Amino acid sequence: MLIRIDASSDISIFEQVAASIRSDMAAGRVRPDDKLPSAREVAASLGVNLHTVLRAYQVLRDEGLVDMRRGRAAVVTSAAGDLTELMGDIRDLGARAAALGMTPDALASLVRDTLRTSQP
Amino acid sequence: MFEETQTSVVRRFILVALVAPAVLTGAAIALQLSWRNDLPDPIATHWGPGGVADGFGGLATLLIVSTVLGLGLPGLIAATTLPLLARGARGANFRLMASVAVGLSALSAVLNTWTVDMQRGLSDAQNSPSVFPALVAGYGAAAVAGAAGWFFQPRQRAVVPGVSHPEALNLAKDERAVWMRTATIRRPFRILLLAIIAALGAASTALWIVGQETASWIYLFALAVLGLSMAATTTFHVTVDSTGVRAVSALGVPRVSVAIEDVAEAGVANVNGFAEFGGWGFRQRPGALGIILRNGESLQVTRRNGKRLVITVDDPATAAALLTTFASRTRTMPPVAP
Repeated sequence: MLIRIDASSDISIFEQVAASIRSDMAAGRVRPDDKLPSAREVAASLGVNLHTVLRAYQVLRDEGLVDMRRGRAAVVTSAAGDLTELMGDIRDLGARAAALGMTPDALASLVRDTLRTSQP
Repeated sequence: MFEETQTSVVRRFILVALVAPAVLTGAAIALQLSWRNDLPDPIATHWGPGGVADGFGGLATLLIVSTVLGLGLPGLIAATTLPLLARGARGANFRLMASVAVGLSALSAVLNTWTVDMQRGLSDAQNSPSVFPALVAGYGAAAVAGAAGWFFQPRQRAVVPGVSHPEALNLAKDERAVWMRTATIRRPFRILLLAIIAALGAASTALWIVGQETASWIYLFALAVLGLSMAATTTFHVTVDSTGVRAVSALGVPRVSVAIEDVAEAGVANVNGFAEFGGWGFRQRPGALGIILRNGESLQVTRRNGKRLVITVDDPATAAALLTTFASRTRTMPPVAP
């Protein structure tokens, strides 16, 4: 599992941690039933606050991607497998956007804005 | 010149690991057979802890033992190691494997032949003398043959065939990253070990219920030993971050690490536990330390002194790429005091 964070980014650290784990799930590098490493170790390795990592894990729990019980490791749920299937669609979309000359960042913000406005 | 040394590595491996054991075993069997009319029937084939004969059988038993130990085991070592050597793999561990093969063969030849020789002229194998001199001579011969086999082979600089070095990960200047992964044995083996632990637990409980308390404690002790060794040797948490790479067992010990300043190279290669490390588990070999929990893809970290750390873990390419990134950062940017 690869977690990357960039302190100079506008996106908050806990969202970056969650996003890293989510893309690992989508890429199939983290699979259902895998245990996430302890938040304490991740925090120590990245040099960030423990609560930042815990918050990232809570985001993933709220999305149903991990299962967390007190005193036990966070476990990846089967929903992470569905995320892997989404990857094909995302690649197709990326290829079409690239053909139109769009950058990945432009596509990502277009997707974000579109979904935000279309949600009730 | 280079080509010549390369072929001599393989040729001398074959001479040490196969030809020498074949000669030793052939001579041992010929000698043992030549004495067949001077031997009691049955002959002693096994000796207890006190050095006194406690197992008896025909000469055929000893001939089979001589062949399996003296030629079968070296053959197994060669069969798993030679394909790798042929593919271009080199390293002190291969030199050691051949030396172990000929040492085993010498042990078998001397021990078995000596024990047959000392029974010549006896009317009853019960009176056969102590096995200790034969054991001492056998292990002495093994040490001499092993050392001779080692020095007969040329020195080998470590070469890992098929090793690839993934490109460094594209991290921004301020970007931080960590890679973590749990390396473990394959599922059937884990299930088997857990089943044994469960069976020991059940046996211990059942013995306690029927009042066999001492036996119950013994089973509980065996369970604890197996459980602890499983936690210490079958699961490792592997981390790559800006400080380097480390692997810590589920128990907490053993733990291995390579500091980022000490990382010369990080790569990915397939590993065969038996051929390259003489088995699986936490393996120390000349020039390499292995956490070998299965065959297959592995993270290969080379230290500045040329020694390797090999860990069989999934997704090693990402780990190697990240380690390469941090290593080049350390080389180009000396650490700044906070």
